[in-house]
Amino acid sequence: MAQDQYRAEPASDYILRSLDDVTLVYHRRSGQTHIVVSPVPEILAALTGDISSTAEIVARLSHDYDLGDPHDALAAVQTHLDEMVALGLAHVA
Amino acid sequence: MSEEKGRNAGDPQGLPPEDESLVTPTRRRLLMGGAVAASAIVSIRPALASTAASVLNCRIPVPDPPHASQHIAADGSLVPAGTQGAVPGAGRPFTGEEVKAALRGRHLPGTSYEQNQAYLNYIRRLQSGTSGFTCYASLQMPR
Amino acid sequence: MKHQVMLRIGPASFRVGSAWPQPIVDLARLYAAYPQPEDGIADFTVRLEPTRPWRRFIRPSVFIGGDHMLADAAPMALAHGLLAAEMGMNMQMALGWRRHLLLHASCVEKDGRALVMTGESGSGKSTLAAQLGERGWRLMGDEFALLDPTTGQIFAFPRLVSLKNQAIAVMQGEAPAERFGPLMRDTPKGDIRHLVPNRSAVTRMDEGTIPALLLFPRFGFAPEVREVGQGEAFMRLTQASTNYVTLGERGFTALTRFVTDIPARAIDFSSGDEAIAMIDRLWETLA
Repeated sequence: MAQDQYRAEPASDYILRSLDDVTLVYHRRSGQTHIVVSPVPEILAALTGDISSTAEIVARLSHDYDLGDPHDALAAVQTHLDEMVALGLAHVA
Repeated sequence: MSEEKGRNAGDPQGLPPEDESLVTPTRRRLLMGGAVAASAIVSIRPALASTAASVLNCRIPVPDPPHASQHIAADGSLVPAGTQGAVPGAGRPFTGEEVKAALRGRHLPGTSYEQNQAYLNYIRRLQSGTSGFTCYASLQMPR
Repeated sequence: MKHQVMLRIGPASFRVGSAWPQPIVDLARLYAAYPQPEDGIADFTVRLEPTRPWRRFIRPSVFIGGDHMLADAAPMALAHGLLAAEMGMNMQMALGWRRHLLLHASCVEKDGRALVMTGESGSGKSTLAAQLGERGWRLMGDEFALLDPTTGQIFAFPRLVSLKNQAIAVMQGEAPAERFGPLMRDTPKGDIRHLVPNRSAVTRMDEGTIPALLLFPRFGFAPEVREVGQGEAFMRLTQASTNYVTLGERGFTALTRFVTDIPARAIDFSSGDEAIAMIDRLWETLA
């Protein structure tokens, strides 16, 4: 799992709206609306660009955020990525 | 000042360089730590059934008509008549209002304790396409 | 169908047909001040039909049919025929209306701005709207508010107000007798009596209004006001809308704009007067 490479859903395929307490994502292809909280919007932002591995995403995030214990961080980001892939917000490259 | 942040390629933790004059960390904590990450996504489910059916008076037969001769086990599943511990179906359909009250702790009218439990479990297991499903879905308003 | 009437409520028009005359007589009287559909063409048809051919005469039993129907619907007694007709029209809107985002909410307007109140049945949203409608606010609707995805305005759907149980006595003290429909006892939702919206609500039904305040009322609790976050308001409104998902992206942009533009509060109250005092204060400070 941690060896997977990921890419984002193209930015034109979803709409993000920040509300005061959560972020909304409208996914055009599925017509689904998701209410998301940290760290999902941050992971989405860290994904844009090329294909990345989970470790690369974690490294990118840790430039701007405190991720705590690095081992836990890798597992946590992996879990969130898996959920995002299941919903079509990210893809296994 | 922030030019230095994030350019410390040699530092695996990505900590701010030591010559920054700030005492406290400048980066927001992103992850909660611990072994299991809680889901951060809630997907909106269509409320069509819930609101549309709530404007109508609806009812839930227990069990649905094609299975009227079967009995209901304590866990709500359908079993052959005469099965030990199962109860016969209800004599009449329950209204949405009656089921809503029962789900909140009242009793389905005219039922014993065993019947009430079995019927409520049957209702909770209703699937799309079964008579009464839309009515049940209409009761699932959040909070 | 043997008996029928055509009517328009806000932007939606209906042809209601019935195997029995009385529900049509009631509708025609209560909706007498309402306009007819444009060019005689109705958006929706509602049909009040006997559940079996002989149930037209013997223990008459009304099945609510129409362009949009729900199979689980329980039949109704003929004495509740007017209620059946109203439920049928609501069903058409809930399942078939696409031109606006349909919110299960009451709505009143004052000084060119709209107050939207949403909640489950029993929350008090309909009774409050009816009371405000008799206190200088324009009643836009007691059950549905229509949100225009293009402009963000709310449009009115001022159907007959459906008063239940205690609310009937409350409003009989506040509105003249000729605006009430027949008292229907022991319907599946208790005792019900309809109230015709006042003249201003009917003549101004086509005026859209910018929304200014969203409330989540809860009747039967000690008085309290709580802020409601935009995320929570959004989530609850998706559950209070029958066509949010169907409208797709238009629904998303309409609803996100609604919750980001408008403050939201939850209000608990144990009497109408209490609630109205809270609403007046909130309107003054937030709207």
